[in-house]
Amino acid sequence: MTIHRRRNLTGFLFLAPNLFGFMVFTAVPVGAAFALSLFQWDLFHPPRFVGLQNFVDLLGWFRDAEGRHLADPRFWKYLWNTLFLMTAIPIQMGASLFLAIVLNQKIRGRVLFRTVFYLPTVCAGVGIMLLWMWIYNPEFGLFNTVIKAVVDFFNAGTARLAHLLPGVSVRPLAAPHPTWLKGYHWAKPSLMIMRVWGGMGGTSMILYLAGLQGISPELYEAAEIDGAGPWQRFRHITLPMLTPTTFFIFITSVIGGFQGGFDAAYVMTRGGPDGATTTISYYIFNHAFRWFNMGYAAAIAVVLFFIVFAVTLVNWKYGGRKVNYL
Amino acid sequence: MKHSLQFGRLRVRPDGMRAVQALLTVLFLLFSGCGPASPRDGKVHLVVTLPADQLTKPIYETVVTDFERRHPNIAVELISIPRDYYGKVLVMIAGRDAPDLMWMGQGFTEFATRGVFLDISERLAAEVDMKEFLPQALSWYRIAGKQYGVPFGVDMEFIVYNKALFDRAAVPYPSDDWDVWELLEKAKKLTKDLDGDGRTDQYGFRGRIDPSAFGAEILARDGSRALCNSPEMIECLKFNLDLVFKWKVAPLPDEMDQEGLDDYAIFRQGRAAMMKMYTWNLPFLRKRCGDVDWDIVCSPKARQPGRWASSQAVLISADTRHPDEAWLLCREFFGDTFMEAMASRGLPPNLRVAREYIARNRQRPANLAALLKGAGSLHPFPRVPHLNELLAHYWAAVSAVYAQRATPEEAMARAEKEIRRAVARQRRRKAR
Repeated sequence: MTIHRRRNLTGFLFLAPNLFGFMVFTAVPVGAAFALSLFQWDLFHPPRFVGLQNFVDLLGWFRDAEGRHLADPRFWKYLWNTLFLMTAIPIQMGASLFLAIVLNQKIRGRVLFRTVFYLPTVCAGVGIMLLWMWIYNPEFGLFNTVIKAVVDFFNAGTARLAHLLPGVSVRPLAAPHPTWLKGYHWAKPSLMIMRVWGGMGGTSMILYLAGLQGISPELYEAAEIDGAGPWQRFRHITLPMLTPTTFFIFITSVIGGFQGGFDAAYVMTRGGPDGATTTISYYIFNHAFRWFNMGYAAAIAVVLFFIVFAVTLVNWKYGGRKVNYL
Repeated sequence: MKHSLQFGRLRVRPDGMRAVQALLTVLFLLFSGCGPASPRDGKVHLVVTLPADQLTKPIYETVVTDFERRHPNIAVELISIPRDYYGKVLVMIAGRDAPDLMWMGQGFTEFATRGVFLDISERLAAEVDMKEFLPQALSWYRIAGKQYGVPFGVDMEFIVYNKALFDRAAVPYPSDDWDVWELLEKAKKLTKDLDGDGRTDQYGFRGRIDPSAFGAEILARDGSRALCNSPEMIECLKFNLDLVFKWKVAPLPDEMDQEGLDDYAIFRQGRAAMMKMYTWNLPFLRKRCGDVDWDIVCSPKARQPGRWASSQAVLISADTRHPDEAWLLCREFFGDTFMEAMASRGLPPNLRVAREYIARNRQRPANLAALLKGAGSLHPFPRVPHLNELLAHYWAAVSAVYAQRATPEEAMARAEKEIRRAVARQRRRKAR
């Protein structure tokens, strides 16, 4: 065997465990999902080949006496939910960048702060969700208790002031009572707040920190000599130099966003109220494991795959142009 | 002497061979850990899955230990699945690793209509006297004339009330034959703002009246159509909404439906004078609310007596390799001993056992007989295929009503339409 072949073989042997894991736990299930999407399967009986019927049931429409209808309107509603929840991604990225910049400064206790901000990432997700369920509890939760305390304090202050000024009457403020996870319009923002809180100090912050530390100080020195202020240095040096990091975080977050939302829906809301927090991944779970429509669930997963693929392609094609690989 | 291995033009040297051997060894060790262990003790091994909690698991274990002592040739493995029970059992069945026996409650239909269970009709007829059993409870485990199981407990709703709060407000205790208007009158007297801050601290009632009390149905008994868009259902939803928004005797839906709320703490703290609870709450009520003077009554009637109910049984898998031994164990799970041990969390469907248990009862609730009275008007969900998927449309519509995103009329019209389409879709799938 030539040295070249021996090196190749050694290389493949080192890669083998990972490659094996990828084949068994990723490539084969993905292939199986593609195949399953062409079958009707309730998990109990042998799968029955139905061709593209699952896709027609999912993406098509039908006519009845009342007119033309989407075949599965819930899919589109839950796709919208998924996209809505993904609007937290830019907010989370901005927060991560802000934290990274602050923690990149030579401030006292920065190692402690870095640890504290990274903590939610290493904590058990379900535990954190249970904690947030208590925070969001409309009756006993932290948020509404604080809101009520602040409004009561304000009302007490204005009442005292009114007492000192004869003839002045002040109507007390009514404390707002957000319904958080149980309100149709509040539920999605509630999950987004939790996601931003949990994600801003995590891997994105670490990546931004690494990116910031890779920027040559000479660039800042040269800019300072040219009279650039802090904002101009940030705008014209930091941001462009961080574009590869930003691009990477954005791409991975978008992919994760399309696939996400299952854990929060499963643990915190069961997809409610009225489907407000059901995402595509939770819908796939329901079809597969609650309603026994495994083939249909696989078809949704395949459609999701193509959506993610298309969005990632667009990101690469157009987003990649703005990346500065200096 | 060192040998090398030749694969066509590729020759692997001895050090490369060692690496390949090491890899194969690792793979062998990896896969040898997979798959079911083969019993080598000569015993018949039975696997039972159940969603046991900390209070019921010891009861199952006691029965199994006693069974193993009497049948030394059988070993039983209990697998306790505390969360998402049906999903995990489904995965076991799909993976051709079905347990020999499995606990089933409301999810029975979804599994039974797909041929998961062994028909025990003949064995039952030959060996067991079923005359003492509540006929309705037996029918819940019968599909197309085939009996798949015998329940050991009937789950139903009831109203638990705090006697001290009733005494303080000089309100007479409710009785088992009361109605929703009496509940409303009592709730009005028991709803209080104790600290005068404008917010209710003690609600008269926490819960919702079941549609069956108004004579409403969600689905036809054969699952062929939705019945939820009916005047009875609309009346029920409006009554429940009025409890909250008109009479303000029940907490807001967002305060009531919150996931993870500790109902026992709410009851113990006196934040609700009456609460709707279920038989499985009873052991926890006894444990957590021991310092509260409480009792139970039947849930009130509206147009007719009616209350949600379900039941529990342990059934034999159609795929078991040991049907005779599984039947022996299955009998233990609807025998008097087990039924009585589980009576603390559900009414025994054997009425003799139920009456004896209630007569002997010296702990709270004093009015345990309410469960026996309530057993005359039980209203479980219909046993139809795709029940979960059909009910999902109904629950989403109900959720929209309580979130005030739709009127009861709009929501039920929507649910009816969606269920109709879902039924049609299922028919098309079946026809393919």
